[in-house]
Amino acid sequence: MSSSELLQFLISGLQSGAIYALVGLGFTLVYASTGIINFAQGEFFMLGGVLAVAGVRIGLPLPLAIVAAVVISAGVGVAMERIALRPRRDSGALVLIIITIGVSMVLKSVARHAFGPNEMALPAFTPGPPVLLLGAAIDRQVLWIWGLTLVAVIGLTLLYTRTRLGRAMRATSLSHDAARLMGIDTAGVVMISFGLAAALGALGGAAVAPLTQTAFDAGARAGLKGFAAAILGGLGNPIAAVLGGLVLGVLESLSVAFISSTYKDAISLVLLLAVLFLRPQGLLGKSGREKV
Amino acid sequence: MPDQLLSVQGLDVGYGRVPVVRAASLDVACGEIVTIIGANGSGKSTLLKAVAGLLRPSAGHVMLDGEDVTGLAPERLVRKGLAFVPEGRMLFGPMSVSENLALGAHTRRAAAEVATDLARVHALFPVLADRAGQPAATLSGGEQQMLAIARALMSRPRILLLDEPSLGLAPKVIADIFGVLDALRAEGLGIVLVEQDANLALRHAQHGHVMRSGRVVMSGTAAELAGNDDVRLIYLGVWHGDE
Repeated sequence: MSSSELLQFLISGLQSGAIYALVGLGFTLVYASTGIINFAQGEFFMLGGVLAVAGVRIGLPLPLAIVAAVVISAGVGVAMERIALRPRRDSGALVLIIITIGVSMVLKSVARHAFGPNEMALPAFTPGPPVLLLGAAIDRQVLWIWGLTLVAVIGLTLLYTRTRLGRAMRATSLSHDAARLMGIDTAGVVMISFGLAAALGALGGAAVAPLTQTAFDAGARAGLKGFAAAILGGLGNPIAAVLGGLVLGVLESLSVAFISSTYKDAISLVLLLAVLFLRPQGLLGKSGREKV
Repeated sequence: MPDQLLSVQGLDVGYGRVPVVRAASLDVACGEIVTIIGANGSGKSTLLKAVAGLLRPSAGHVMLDGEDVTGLAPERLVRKGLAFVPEGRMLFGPMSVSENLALGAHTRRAAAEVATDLARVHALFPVLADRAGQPAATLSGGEQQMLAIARALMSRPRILLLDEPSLGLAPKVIADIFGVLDALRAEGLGIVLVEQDANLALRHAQHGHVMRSGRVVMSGTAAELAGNDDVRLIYLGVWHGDE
Protein backbone atom coordinates (compact mmCIF):
# COMPACT_ATOMS: atom_id res chain seq x y z
CA MET A 1 0.00 0.00 0.00
CA SER A 2 1.35 3.41 -0.95
CA SER A 3 1.74 6.13 1.62
CA SER A 4 -0.92 8.24 -0.07
CA GLU A 5 -3.37 5.34 0.18
CA LEU A 6 -2.53 4.95 3.85
CA LEU A 7 -3.02 8.67 4.32
CA GLN A 8 -6.40 8.33 2.64
CA PHE A 9 -7.44 5.65 5.11
CA LEU A 10 -6.15 7.76 7.99
CA ILE A 11 -8.19 10.74 6.82
CA SER A 12 -11.28 8.59 6.48
CA GLY A 13 -10.66 7.24 9.99
CA LEU A 14 -10.27 10.70 11.47
CA GLN A 15 -13.47 11.74 9.70
CA SER A 16 -15.63 9.06 11.26
CA GLY A 17 -13.60 9.41 14.46
CA ALA A 18 -14.58 13.08 14.76
CA ILE A 19 -18.24 12.09 14.48
CA TYR A 20 -17.83 9.36 17.10
CA ALA A 21 -16.17 11.96 19.29
CA LEU A 22 -19.15 14.32 19.05
CA VAL A 23 -21.60 11.55 19.91
CA GLY A 24 -19.25 10.24 22.62
CA LEU A 25 -19.04 13.71 24.17
CA GLY A 26 -22.79 13.55 24.64
CA PHE A 27 -22.48 10.28 26.53
CA THR A 28 -19.82 11.70 28.86
CA LEU A 29 -21.74 14.93 29.52
CA VAL A 30 -24.85 13.07 30.61
CA TYR A 31 -22.87 10.47 32.52
CA ALA A 32 -20.96 13.17 34.39
CA SER A 33 -24.07 14.94 35.63
CA THR A 34 -26.33 11.95 36.25
CA GLY A 35 -24.23 8.78 36.44
CA ILE A 36 -26.37 7.14 33.77
CA ILE A 37 -25.77 6.11 30.16
CA ASN A 38 -28.23 7.80 27.82
CA PHE A 39 -28.98 5.20 25.17
CA ALA A 40 -31.05 7.72 23.25
CA GLN A 41 -27.87 9.68 22.49
CA GLY A 42 -27.59 8.12 19.00
CA GLU A 43 -31.10 9.33 18.15
CA PHE A 44 -29.97 12.93 18.50
CA PHE A 45 -27.36 12.21 15.86
CA MET A 46 -30.20 10.94 13.67
CA LEU A 47 -32.40 13.95 14.49
CA GLY A 48 -29.62 16.38 13.55
CA GLY A 49 -29.31 14.94 10.06
CA VAL A 50 -32.97 14.27 9.40
CA LEU A 51 -34.19 17.64 10.70
CA ALA A 52 -31.55 19.49 8.67
CA VAL A 53 -32.75 17.72 5.51
CA ALA A 54 -36.35 18.50 6.44
CA GLY A 55 -35.40 22.14 6.94
CA VAL A 56 -33.83 22.33 3.50
CA ARG A 57 -36.91 20.66 2.00
CA ILE A 58 -39.23 23.28 3.41
CA GLY A 59 -37.02 25.94 1.87
CA LEU A 60 -34.74 27.08 4.70
CA PRO A 61 -31.25 28.15 3.68
CA LEU A 62 -28.77 25.37 4.55
CA PRO A 63 -26.98 27.12 7.47
CA LEU A 64 -30.31 28.03 9.05
CA ALA A 65 -31.60 24.48 8.56
CA ILE A 66 -28.54 23.11 10.36
CA VAL A 67 -28.79 25.57 13.25
CA ALA A 68 -32.51 24.84 13.55
CA ALA A 69 -31.85 21.08 13.56
CA VAL A 70 -29.29 21.43 16.35
CA VAL A 71 -31.49 23.75 18.42
CA ILE A 72 -34.60 21.58 18.03
CA SER A 73 -32.60 18.47 18.94
CA ALA A 74 -31.28 20.21 22.05
CA GLY A 75 -34.89 21.05 22.91
CA VAL A 76 -35.86 17.41 22.48
CA GLY A 77 -32.96 16.46 24.78
CA VAL A 78 -34.15 18.89 27.45
CA ALA A 79 -37.74 17.70 27.06
CA MET A 80 -36.61 14.09 27.38
CA GLU A 81 -34.96 14.89 30.70
CA ARG A 82 -37.89 16.88 32.04
CA ILE A 83 -40.69 14.60 30.89
CA ALA A 84 -39.26 11.09 30.86
CA LEU A 85 -36.42 11.06 33.38
CA ARG A 86 -36.91 13.71 36.06
CA PRO A 87 -40.16 12.30 37.43
CA ARG A 88 -38.32 9.00 37.99
CA ARG A 89 -34.99 10.34 39.14
CA ASP A 90 -35.18 8.64 42.52
CA SER A 91 -35.76 5.23 40.96
CA GLY A 92 -32.13 4.28 40.51
CA ALA A 93 -29.77 4.18 37.54
CA LEU A 94 -31.10 0.98 35.97
CA VAL A 95 -34.66 2.29 35.68
CA LEU A 96 -33.40 5.55 34.17
CA ILE A 97 -31.21 3.75 31.65
CA ILE A 98 -34.14 1.59 30.56
CA ILE A 99 -36.21 4.76 30.15
CA THR A 100 -33.53 6.14 27.81
CA ILE A 101 -33.85 2.99 25.69
CA GLY A 102 -37.59 3.58 25.57
CA VAL A 103 -37.11 7.20 24.55
CA SER A 104 -34.74 6.04 21.84
CA MET A 105 -37.44 3.75 20.38
CA VAL A 106 -40.02 6.52 20.51
CA LEU A 107 -37.76 9.03 18.75
CA LYS A 108 -36.93 6.50 16.05
CA SER A 109 -40.58 5.61 15.42
CA VAL A 110 -41.66 9.24 15.34
CA ALA A 111 -38.88 10.02 12.85
CA ARG A 112 -39.93 7.05 10.71
CA HIS A 113 -43.49 8.32 10.54
CA ALA A 114 -42.60 11.96 10.08
CA PHE A 115 -39.85 11.60 7.49
CA GLY A 116 -40.46 8.20 5.91
CA PRO A 117 -38.24 5.15 5.65
CA ASN A 118 -35.95 6.35 2.86
CA GLU A 119 -32.40 7.61 2.91
CA MET A 120 -32.18 11.39 2.85
CA ALA A 121 -29.32 13.49 1.52
CA LEU A 122 -28.18 16.87 2.76
CA PRO A 123 -26.32 19.21 0.36
CA ALA A 124 -22.64 19.70 1.07
CA PHE A 125 -21.97 22.75 3.28
CA THR A 126 -19.52 24.15 0.69
CA PRO A 127 -19.69 22.27 -2.62
CA GLY A 128 -16.52 21.95 -4.63
CA PRO A 129 -13.77 19.56 -5.64
CA PRO A 130 -11.84 17.72 -2.91
CA VAL A 131 -8.77 19.37 -1.40
CA LEU A 132 -5.55 17.53 -2.25
CA LEU A 133 -3.02 16.84 0.50
CA LEU A 134 0.14 14.79 -0.15
CA GLY A 135 -1.62 12.79 -2.82
CA ALA A 136 -4.72 12.15 -0.72
CA ALA A 137 -8.07 13.75 -1.51
CA ILE A 138 -10.01 15.34 1.35
CA ASP A 139 -13.67 16.05 0.74
CA ARG A 140 -14.54 19.61 1.75
CA GLN A 141 -17.24 18.26 4.02
CA VAL A 142 -14.57 16.40 6.00
CA LEU A 143 -12.89 19.72 6.70
CA TRP A 144 -16.22 20.98 8.00
CA ILE A 145 -16.55 17.94 10.25
CA TRP A 146 -13.08 18.48 11.69
CA GLY A 147 -13.61 22.18 12.10
CA LEU A 148 -16.96 21.80 13.85
CA THR A 149 -15.61 19.08 16.13
CA LEU A 150 -12.65 21.27 17.03
CA VAL A 151 -14.90 24.24 17.76
CA ALA A 152 -17.19 22.04 19.88
CA VAL A 153 -14.28 20.65 21.89
CA ILE A 154 -12.69 24.05 22.48
CA GLY A 155 -16.05 25.55 23.39
CA LEU A 156 -16.77 22.75 25.84
CA THR A 157 -13.32 23.00 27.40
CA LEU A 158 -13.74 26.76 27.89
CA LEU A 159 -17.19 26.19 29.33
CA TYR A 160 -15.87 23.62 31.80
CA THR A 161 -12.76 25.47 32.92
CA ARG A 162 -13.58 29.16 32.58
CA THR A 163 -17.21 29.67 33.45
CA ARG A 164 -19.32 29.62 36.57
CA LEU A 165 -21.72 27.18 34.89
CA GLY A 166 -18.85 24.85 33.94
CA ARG A 167 -17.55 24.87 37.49
CA ALA A 168 -21.05 24.07 38.73
CA MET A 169 -21.25 21.22 36.20
CA ARG A 170 -17.97 19.74 37.41
CA ALA A 171 -19.03 20.09 41.05
CA THR A 172 -22.34 18.38 40.26
CA SER A 173 -20.53 15.50 38.58
CA LEU A 174 -18.49 14.95 41.78
CA SER A 175 -21.39 15.08 44.24
CA HIS A 176 -24.97 16.23 43.83
CA ASP A 177 -25.46 16.79 47.56
CA ALA A 178 -22.27 18.79 47.98
CA ALA A 179 -23.14 20.86 44.90
CA ARG A 180 -26.60 21.62 46.26
CA LEU A 181 -25.08 22.74 49.56
CA MET A 182 -23.12 25.31 47.51
CA GLY A 183 -26.42 26.61 46.13
CA ILE A 184 -26.03 24.94 42.75
CA ASP A 185 -29.29 24.07 41.02
CA THR A 186 -28.26 20.50 40.16
CA ALA A 187 -31.57 19.75 38.43
CA GLY A 188 -30.79 22.64 36.09
CA VAL A 189 -27.28 21.33 35.49
CA VAL A 190 -28.67 17.91 34.55
CA MET A 191 -31.12 19.55 32.14
CA ILE A 192 -28.38 21.61 30.52
CA SER A 193 -26.22 18.48 30.16
CA PHE A 194 -28.98 16.70 28.26
CA GLY A 195 -29.49 19.72 26.02
CA LEU A 196 -25.77 20.06 25.28
CA ALA A 197 -25.37 16.33 24.68
CA ALA A 198 -28.27 16.34 22.23
CA ALA A 199 -26.89 19.41 20.45
CA LEU A 200 -23.47 17.79 20.03
CA GLY A 201 -25.00 14.59 18.68
CA ALA A 202 -27.20 16.56 16.28
CA LEU A 203 -24.24 18.61 15.10
CA GLY A 204 -22.43 15.37 14.25
CA GLY A 205 -25.48 14.03 12.47
CA ALA A 206 -25.92 17.16 10.36
CA ALA A 207 -22.22 17.46 9.56
CA VAL A 208 -21.89 13.91 8.27
CA ALA A 209 -25.24 13.75 6.43
CA PRO A 210 -23.87 15.21 3.16
CA LEU A 211 -21.26 12.42 3.02
CA THR A 212 -23.17 9.34 4.12
CA GLN A 213 -26.84 10.30 3.77
CA THR A 214 -29.10 9.76 6.74
CA ALA A 215 -32.37 8.10 7.69
CA PHE A 216 -34.65 7.45 10.64
CA ASP A 217 -32.56 4.44 11.69
CA ALA A 218 -29.14 6.13 11.61
CA GLY A 219 -29.10 6.55 15.38
CA ALA A 220 -28.39 3.04 16.58
CA ARG A 221 -25.08 2.66 14.82
CA ALA A 222 -23.91 6.18 15.71
CA GLY A 223 -24.97 5.59 19.30
CA LEU A 224 -22.98 2.38 19.51
CA LYS A 225 -19.87 4.02 18.08
CA GLY A 226 -20.19 7.06 20.30
CA PHE A 227 -20.69 4.83 23.33
CA ALA A 228 -17.58 2.84 22.42
CA ALA A 229 -15.66 6.12 22.02
CA ALA A 230 -16.78 7.34 25.44
CA ILE A 231 -15.95 4.01 27.12
CA LEU A 232 -12.63 3.80 25.31
CA GLY A 233 -11.61 7.23 26.57
CA GLY A 234 -13.00 6.72 30.05
CA LEU A 235 -16.48 7.97 30.88
CA GLY A 236 -16.83 11.39 32.38
CA ASN A 237 -13.82 13.04 30.80
CA PRO A 238 -14.72 15.06 27.67
CA ILE A 239 -11.21 15.23 26.23
CA ALA A 240 -10.85 11.47 26.68
CA ALA A 241 -14.07 10.88 24.76
CA VAL A 242 -12.70 12.86 21.84
CA LEU A 243 -9.49 10.87 21.90
CA GLY A 244 -11.50 7.64 22.17
CA GLY A 245 -13.53 8.63 19.12
CA LEU A 246 -10.50 9.43 17.01
CA VAL A 247 -8.68 6.23 18.03
CA LEU A 248 -11.78 4.19 17.24
CA GLY A 249 -12.27 5.84 13.85
CA VAL A 250 -8.66 5.29 12.81
CA LEU A 251 -8.63 1.67 14.00
CA GLU A 252 -11.79 0.98 12.03
CA SER A 253 -10.36 2.55 8.95
CA LEU A 254 -7.08 0.67 9.26
CA SER A 255 -8.98 -2.57 9.68
CA VAL A 256 -10.66 -1.86 6.36
CA ALA A 257 -7.24 -1.22 4.85
CA PHE A 258 -5.47 -4.25 6.21
CA ILE A 259 -8.15 -6.83 6.97
CA SER A 260 -11.51 -6.38 5.32
CA SER A 261 -14.36 -3.92 5.39
CA THR A 262 -16.53 -6.80 6.59
CA TYR A 263 -15.06 -6.47 10.07
CA LYS A 264 -15.25 -2.70 10.32
CA ASP A 265 -18.21 -2.57 12.68
CA ALA A 266 -16.96 -5.52 14.68
CA ILE A 267 -13.88 -3.51 15.59
CA SER A 268 -15.77 -1.12 17.82
CA LEU A 269 -17.59 -3.97 19.56
CA VAL A 270 -14.41 -5.92 20.15
CA LEU A 271 -12.70 -2.77 21.38
CA LEU A 272 -15.64 -1.97 23.64
CA LEU A 273 -15.53 -5.44 25.21
CA ALA A 274 -11.75 -5.42 25.51
CA VAL A 275 -11.80 -2.08 27.32
CA LEU A 276 -14.60 -3.18 29.63
CA PHE A 277 -12.73 -6.38 30.50
CA LEU A 278 -9.17 -5.11 30.67
CA ARG A 279 -9.33 -1.43 31.52
CA PRO A 280 -12.83 -0.44 32.62
CA GLN A 281 -11.66 3.03 33.62
CA GLY A 282 -10.83 3.79 29.96
CA LEU A 283 -7.56 4.82 28.34
CA LEU A 284 -7.23 8.12 30.22
CA GLY A 285 -9.32 7.30 33.27
CA LYS A 286 -7.76 6.82 36.67
CA SER A 287 -8.46 3.51 38.36
CA GLY A 288 -11.13 3.65 41.02
CA ARG A 289 -13.32 6.59 41.91
CA GLU A 290 -11.99 9.79 43.40
CA LYS A 291 -12.56 9.83 47.09
CA VAL A 292 -12.65 12.58 49.63
CA MET B 1 -38.12 35.37 71.27
CA PRO B 2 -37.69 37.98 68.56
CA ASP B 3 -33.94 37.66 68.19
CA GLN B 4 -34.01 33.95 67.30
CA LEU B 5 -32.15 33.41 64.06
CA LEU B 6 -32.99 29.75 63.68
CA SER B 7 -35.87 28.02 65.36
CA VAL B 8 -36.52 24.30 64.96
CA GLN B 9 -39.94 23.31 66.25
CA GLY B 10 -41.08 19.73 66.83
CA LEU B 11 -39.19 18.24 63.90
CA ASP B 12 -39.80 14.59 62.92
CA VAL B 13 -37.30 13.15 60.46
CA GLY B 14 -36.74 9.69 59.08
CA TYR B 15 -35.29 7.68 56.27
CA GLY B 16 -38.17 6.28 54.28
CA ARG B 17 -40.74 5.25 56.85
CA VAL B 18 -38.30 4.68 59.68
CA PRO B 19 -38.46 7.63 62.06
CA VAL B 20 -35.04 8.64 63.37
CA VAL B 21 -35.71 11.99 64.98
CA ARG B 22 -38.89 12.80 66.86
CA ALA B 23 -40.20 16.18 67.99
CA ALA B 24 -36.82 17.86 68.08
CA SER B 25 -36.78 21.56 68.95
CA LEU B 26 -33.97 24.05 69.33
CA ASP B 27 -33.33 27.77 69.00
CA VAL B 28 -30.23 29.64 67.93
CA ALA B 29 -29.68 33.38 68.32
CA CYS B 30 -27.10 35.57 66.59
CA GLY B 31 -23.66 35.24 68.12
CA GLU B 32 -24.38 31.97 69.83
CA ILE B 33 -23.06 28.43 69.55
CA VAL B 34 -25.71 25.81 70.25
CA THR B 35 -24.43 22.28 70.49
CA ILE B 36 -26.21 18.98 70.09
CA ILE B 37 -24.47 16.17 71.92
CA GLY B 38 -25.33 12.52 72.23
CA ALA B 39 -24.09 9.05 71.44
CA ASN B 40 -23.57 7.62 67.99
CA GLY B 41 -26.89 6.95 66.30
CA SER B 42 -28.88 9.26 68.57
CA GLY B 43 -30.15 11.26 65.58
CA LYS B 44 -27.90 14.34 65.81
CA SER B 45 -26.68 14.18 62.22
CA THR B 46 -30.10 13.31 60.86
CA LEU B 47 -31.59 16.34 62.59
CA LEU B 48 -28.86 18.57 61.16
CA LYS B 49 -29.35 17.20 57.63
CA ALA B 50 -33.06 17.94 57.86
CA VAL B 51 -32.41 21.51 58.97
CA ALA B 52 -29.97 21.90 56.05
CA GLY B 53 -32.59 20.64 53.58
CA LEU B 54 -30.90 17.36 52.62
CA LEU B 55 -33.66 15.37 54.31
CA ARG B 56 -37.34 16.31 54.31
CA PRO B 57 -38.93 16.38 57.75
CA SER B 58 -42.27 14.58 58.09
CA ALA B 59 -43.55 16.98 60.74
CA GLY B 60 -42.56 20.20 62.47
CA HIS B 61 -41.13 23.49 61.31
CA VAL B 62 -37.81 25.13 60.61
CA MET B 63 -37.94 28.91 60.91
CA LEU B 64 -35.09 31.06 59.65
CA ASP B 65 -35.31 34.68 60.78
CA GLY B 66 -39.04 34.25 61.28
CA GLU B 67 -39.60 32.75 57.83
CA ASP B 68 -40.85 29.17 57.50
CA VAL B 69 -38.22 27.31 55.48
CA THR B 70 -39.34 23.76 56.31
CA GLY B 71 -38.52 21.30 53.56
CA LEU B 72 -36.79 23.92 51.41
CA ALA B 73 -34.04 22.50 49.17
CA PRO B 74 -30.44 23.08 50.30
CA GLU B 75 -29.69 25.22 47.23
CA ARG B 76 -32.47 27.58 48.32
CA LEU B 77 -31.44 27.62 51.98
CA VAL B 78 -27.89 28.74 51.12
CA ARG B 79 -29.39 31.83 49.50
CA LYS B 80 -31.27 32.53 52.70
CA GLY B 81 -28.09 32.52 54.74
CA LEU B 82 -27.83 28.95 56.03
CA ALA B 83 -24.62 27.00 55.36
CA PHE B 84 -23.89 23.39 56.26
CA VAL B 85 -20.52 21.70 56.80
CA PRO B 86 -21.42 18.02 56.57
CA GLU B 87 -19.76 15.12 58.30
CA GLY B 88 -17.00 13.82 56.07
CA ARG B 89 -16.70 17.37 54.70
CA MET B 90 -17.92 16.59 51.13
CA LEU B 91 -15.17 18.58 49.45
CA PHE B 92 -14.75 18.53 45.68
CA GLY B 93 -11.62 16.39 45.90
CA PRO B 94 -10.09 16.69 42.42
CA MET B 95 -10.77 20.44 42.30
CA SER B 96 -8.32 22.96 43.73
CA VAL B 97 -8.67 24.70 47.07
CA SER B 98 -9.45 27.98 45.34
CA GLU B 99 -12.08 26.34 43.13
CA ASN B 100 -13.70 24.81 46.21
CA LEU B 101 -13.80 28.27 47.77
CA ALA B 102 -15.20 29.77 44.55
CA LEU B 103 -17.95 27.13 44.62
CA GLY B 104 -18.71 28.19 48.18
CA ALA B 105 -19.48 31.62 46.74
CA HIS B 106 -21.56 30.19 43.89
CA THR B 107 -24.70 32.04 44.94
CA ARG B 108 -23.01 35.43 44.99
CA ARG B 109 -22.54 37.80 42.08
CA ALA B 110 -20.67 40.76 43.56
CA ALA B 111 -17.03 39.95 42.74
CA ALA B 112 -15.61 42.61 45.05
CA GLU B 113 -17.49 41.25 48.07
CA VAL B 114 -16.41 37.71 47.24
CA ALA B 115 -12.77 38.88 47.05
CA THR B 116 -13.14 40.51 50.48
CA ASP B 117 -14.53 37.28 51.93
CA LEU B 118 -11.78 35.24 50.31
CA ALA B 119 -9.20 37.46 52.02
CA ARG B 120 -11.09 36.99 55.26
CA VAL B 121 -11.12 33.17 55.15
CA HIS B 122 -7.45 33.24 54.15
CA ALA B 123 -6.82 35.33 57.28
CA LEU B 124 -8.77 32.82 59.40
CA PHE B 125 -7.04 29.81 57.82
CA PRO B 126 -3.72 31.00 56.34
CA VAL B 127 -2.82 27.47 55.21
CA LEU B 128 -5.59 27.65 52.61
CA ALA B 129 -3.83 30.54 50.88
CA ASP B 130 -0.62 28.49 50.71
CA ARG B 131 -2.51 25.54 49.27
CA ALA B 132 -4.69 27.52 46.84
CA GLY B 133 -3.73 25.59 43.72
CA GLN B 134 -3.66 22.13 45.27
CA PRO B 135 -6.46 19.59 44.77
CA ALA B 136 -8.59 19.44 47.91
CA ALA B 137 -8.09 15.66 48.15
CA THR B 138 -4.36 16.16 48.77
CA LEU B 139 -4.86 18.23 51.95
CA SER B 140 -4.45 16.76 55.41
CA GLY B 141 -7.57 15.98 57.42
CA GLY B 142 -7.29 19.18 59.43
CA GLU B 143 -6.73 21.29 56.34
CA GLN B 144 -9.72 19.65 54.67
CA GLN B 145 -11.90 20.54 57.65
CA MET B 146 -10.64 24.12 57.49
CA LEU B 147 -11.42 24.22 53.78
CA ALA B 148 -14.91 22.84 54.39
CA ILE B 149 -15.62 25.56 56.96
CA ALA B 150 -14.04 28.27 54.79
CA ARG B 151 -16.07 27.10 51.79
CA ALA B 152 -19.27 27.36 53.83
CA LEU B 153 -18.28 30.86 55.00
CA MET B 154 -17.86 31.97 51.36
CA SER B 155 -21.66 32.00 51.03
CA ARG B 156 -21.63 34.64 53.80
CA PRO B 157 -24.04 32.74 56.03
CA ARG B 158 -25.88 34.07 59.06
CA ILE B 159 -26.15 30.57 60.46
CA LEU B 160 -23.61 27.80 60.17
CA LEU B 161 -24.36 24.12 60.81
CA LEU B 162 -21.38 21.89 61.61
CA ASP B 163 -21.47 18.11 61.81
CA GLU B 164 -18.62 16.55 63.81
CA PRO B 165 -15.92 19.06 62.87
CA SER B 166 -13.44 17.53 65.33
CA LEU B 167 -13.74 13.95 64.10
CA GLY B 168 -10.38 12.30 63.55
CA LEU B 169 -8.33 15.48 64.01
CA ALA B 170 -5.29 16.15 66.18
CA PRO B 171 -5.85 18.20 69.40
CA LYS B 172 -3.78 21.12 68.08
CA VAL B 173 -5.87 21.33 64.88
CA ILE B 174 -9.10 21.01 66.87
CA ALA B 175 -7.99 23.91 69.07
CA ASP B 176 -7.27 26.04 65.98
CA ILE B 177 -10.63 25.26 64.39
CA PHE B 178 -12.62 25.86 67.55
CA GLY B 179 -10.72 29.10 68.09
CA VAL B 180 -12.00 30.23 64.71
CA LEU B 181 -15.55 29.14 65.59
CA ASP B 182 -15.38 31.23 68.79
CA ALA B 183 -14.21 34.22 66.75
CA LEU B 184 -17.00 33.78 64.19
CA ARG B 185 -19.54 33.55 66.98
CA ALA B 186 -18.19 36.75 68.52
CA GLU B 187 -18.77 38.45 65.17
CA GLY B 188 -22.44 37.50 65.36
CA LEU B 189 -22.66 34.23 63.46
CA GLY B 190 -25.14 31.69 64.81
CA ILE B 191 -23.65 28.19 64.97
CA VAL B 192 -25.20 24.78 65.46
CA LEU B 193 -22.55 22.29 66.44
CA VAL B 194 -23.12 18.56 66.41
CA GLU B 195 -20.35 16.86 68.37
CA GLN B 196 -19.55 13.50 69.85
CA ASP B 197 -16.89 15.09 72.01
CA ALA B 198 -19.27 16.57 74.57
CA ASN B 199 -16.47 18.03 76.67
CA LEU B 200 -15.15 20.05 73.77
CA ALA B 201 -18.61 21.08 72.59
CA LEU B 202 -19.79 22.31 76.00
CA ARG B 203 -16.59 24.31 76.50
CA HIS B 204 -17.31 26.36 73.37
CA ALA B 205 -21.12 26.46 73.29
CA GLN B 206 -23.53 28.76 75.09
CA HIS B 207 -26.49 26.38 74.93
CA GLY B 208 -26.71 22.64 74.50
CA HIS B 209 -29.17 19.87 73.80
CA VAL B 210 -28.69 16.20 74.60
CA MET B 211 -30.18 13.69 72.17
CA ARG B 212 -30.94 10.07 72.92
CA SER B 213 -32.80 7.66 70.62
CA GLY B 214 -33.94 10.44 68.33
CA ARG B 215 -35.31 12.70 71.03
CA VAL B 216 -33.97 15.80 72.71
CA VAL B 217 -33.93 14.58 76.32
CA MET B 218 -32.22 17.52 77.99
CA SER B 219 -31.65 21.17 77.16
CA GLY B 220 -29.97 24.03 78.93
CA THR B 221 -27.06 26.40 79.01
CA ALA B 222 -23.71 24.80 78.39
CA ALA B 223 -22.78 25.41 82.02
CA GLU B 224 -25.96 23.72 83.29
CA LEU B 225 -25.37 20.67 81.12
CA ALA B 226 -21.69 20.48 82.03
CA GLY B 227 -22.74 20.52 85.67
CA ASN B 228 -25.55 17.98 85.32
CA ASP B 229 -24.75 14.65 86.94
CA ASP B 230 -26.35 12.53 84.21
CA VAL B 231 -24.56 14.40 81.44
CA ARG B 232 -21.30 14.20 83.34
CA LEU B 233 -21.67 10.50 83.86
CA ILE B 234 -22.89 9.47 80.41
CA TYR B 235 -21.35 11.97 78.01
CA LEU B 236 -18.43 13.53 79.80
CA GLY B 237 -17.18 10.33 81.39
CA VAL B 238 -16.95 11.93 84.84
CA TRP B 239 -18.18 10.13 87.99
CA HIS B 240 -19.94 11.96 90.81
CA GLY B 241 -17.53 14.15 92.68
CA ASP B 242 -14.74 13.17 90.34
CA GLU B 243 -12.97 16.18 88.86
